Amino acid sequence: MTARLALRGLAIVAVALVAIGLLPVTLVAAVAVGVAWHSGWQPARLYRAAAWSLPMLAVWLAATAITRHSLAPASPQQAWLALSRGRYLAAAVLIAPIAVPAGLLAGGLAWSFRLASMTAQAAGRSPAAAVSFDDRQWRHQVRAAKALIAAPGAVPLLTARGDFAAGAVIRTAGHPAGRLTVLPASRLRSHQIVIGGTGTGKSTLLLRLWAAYLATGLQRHAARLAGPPLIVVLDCKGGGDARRIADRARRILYETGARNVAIWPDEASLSLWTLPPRQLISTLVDLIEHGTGGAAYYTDVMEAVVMLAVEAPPGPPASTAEFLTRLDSGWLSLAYAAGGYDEQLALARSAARQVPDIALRFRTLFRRLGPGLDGPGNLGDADAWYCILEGTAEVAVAEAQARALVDVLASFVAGPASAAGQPPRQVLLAVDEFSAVARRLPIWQLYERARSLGLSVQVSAQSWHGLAARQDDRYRLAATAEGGIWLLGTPHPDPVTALAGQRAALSTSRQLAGRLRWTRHGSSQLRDVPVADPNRVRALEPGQAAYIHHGGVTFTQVKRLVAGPAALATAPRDGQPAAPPEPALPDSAAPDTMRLATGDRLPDVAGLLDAAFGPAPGSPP
Amino acid sequence: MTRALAGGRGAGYPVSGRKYLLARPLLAVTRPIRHGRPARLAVRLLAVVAAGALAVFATGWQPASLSVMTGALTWLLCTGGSDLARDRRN
Repeated sequence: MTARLALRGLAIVAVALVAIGLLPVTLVAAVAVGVAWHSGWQPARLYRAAAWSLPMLAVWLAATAITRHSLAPASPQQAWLALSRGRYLAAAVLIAPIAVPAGLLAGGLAWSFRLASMTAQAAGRSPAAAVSFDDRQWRHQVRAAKALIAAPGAVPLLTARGDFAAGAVIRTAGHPAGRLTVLPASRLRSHQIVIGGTGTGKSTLLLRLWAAYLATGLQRHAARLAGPPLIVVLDCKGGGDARRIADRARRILYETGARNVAIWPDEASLSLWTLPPRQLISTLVDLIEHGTGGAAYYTDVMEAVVMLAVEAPPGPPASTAEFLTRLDSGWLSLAYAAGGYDEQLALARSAARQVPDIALRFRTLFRRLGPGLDGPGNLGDADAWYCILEGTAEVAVAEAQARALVDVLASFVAGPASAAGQPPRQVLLAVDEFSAVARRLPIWQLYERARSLGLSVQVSAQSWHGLAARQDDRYRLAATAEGGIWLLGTPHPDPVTALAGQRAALSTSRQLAGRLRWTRHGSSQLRDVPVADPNRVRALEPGQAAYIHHGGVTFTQVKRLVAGPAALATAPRDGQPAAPPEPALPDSAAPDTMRLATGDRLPDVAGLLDAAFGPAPGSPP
Repeated sequence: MTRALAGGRGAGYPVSGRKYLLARPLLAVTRPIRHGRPARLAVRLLAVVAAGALAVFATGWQPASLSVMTGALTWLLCTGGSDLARDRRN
């Protein structure tokens, strides 16, 4: 015991002597460790700095060789001489070529040792010191990440290699640690999930993801690798907030390269009636909510009547009015009376009693759905569609609209344009606030068949439970999100963080020597800890996100995209119908030809003010 | 005045852009500075100049002072990029 203490004392004395003997190196190392601690750096940063200071060493050696015709420099001796004479500045300059690289290297090693010992809970006065050290380092890392994204041009949307940069790295586990959170562009074309509560910066992240998808899609299209990109956003929350985000999304997408961004149903409309007849029948039947048990009979009758109306000899209906006209037993009997349709005619006559009820239900449904699905527009008319569904005010209507829009999109993706030999369009379906329509939109089915259609699906929800009604469906969604999961501040992140898995970490116990005193004696063991710390996710601030992918996590300070001036569009008044829908503009139309909505309300210039002066305090990001 | 701007021709004639060809490279160089953080970049430049001047002042033109100047310039090259920006929005 005494021998061990003596050995330890000798080691301390030896280290102290070396530190004093190499005082300039010690000073540089101390400053380097201090800066690394203050900025939350990893030791690799100090090693890189040491490598970058090698040119000064090379210049010093080269200049010495030229002037003294010898590789033995005189600076160290001169430095000690200058120090003894009180010429401290001269001494510092003379020793700097050696002290700076060596000090940075020594600082990196010391900082690495300090981090490793704190991670193993083997350093610090108490076992809890590791926790407070980690919290302090987290704050320092957040501060450094915020400083990085504050620098203009520091976080481009796409890197020079065409990869997507989301923001500045705060901390990583299982992912490479760089300064920026960079994802391969292919990750954007895979399914992704975004989970975050209100005010956590979800919209900011989504806007950046959409802009990056468009930018990479345009690059691939220019390189003739794929068709032009198309983004379809279903904002299932609705209301004024959705319209404000829609305006911001439009400005950002225009500046990213979109030629035409349509906002549905306020400014543009789509046509449900362009669906192939079989698909149209299925969609129309699904739009009506059915019960179970005895209601199955009624569902079968409804499907038969809808099929008769859609497949009538004059061809499929071209509008809502035409479809509703056909939901009449007299019209159906007359349409199939021409001969050769005996079976259909018999069906129409047997269902004659139910037809008025079915017509009433569809009349009510289409009145509630509004004219947004009855217009002449086509998804191919724009580079991006921002569809606002009033999921907060009218859940049933939003569910039906979402179902119809997804069917229109699936039909468009698998349509004749794709089959004609042209490169298929790169399509992203982003469903924001998915929980509002999750009950009747089985998105995981779309997930599973989307890859064959060339469709990427991005689902965002307020919480893990908002992803789907059943736990199985939630895990199915999460398991197929090959593009990764973005987790923002949420109170229940455990199911998602568990998907990142666990890693082995060293844990050290310390012997209690008295009241709040611990000795250095104890034992260490390996134990599994979560790769993504759920407590860290719970405490994420607005604008911070944890990106989980392939058993690793990257905590990111997301960079906000700044859009151009607001489009000065007005939201429809509460209780009044929206402006009549217009068809989307053709591809050739320039953005500045988009119609400006008129009205006697003052325009919403919040986006412009945000862009000019930053977000207002307390406002959602 | 209009006549002078139009190179001696009357108003309504297009002005030759040749004279602006010289300004374009200058603009390309200055744009990242203007879109970035010019004040911080200026401070970095001043720091480099000050370090070099102090080194020469302290020891004269010696290998060590040249080395310090090299180190300061390397630091400027490594860190000055964060004060430049091609696009103000990002």
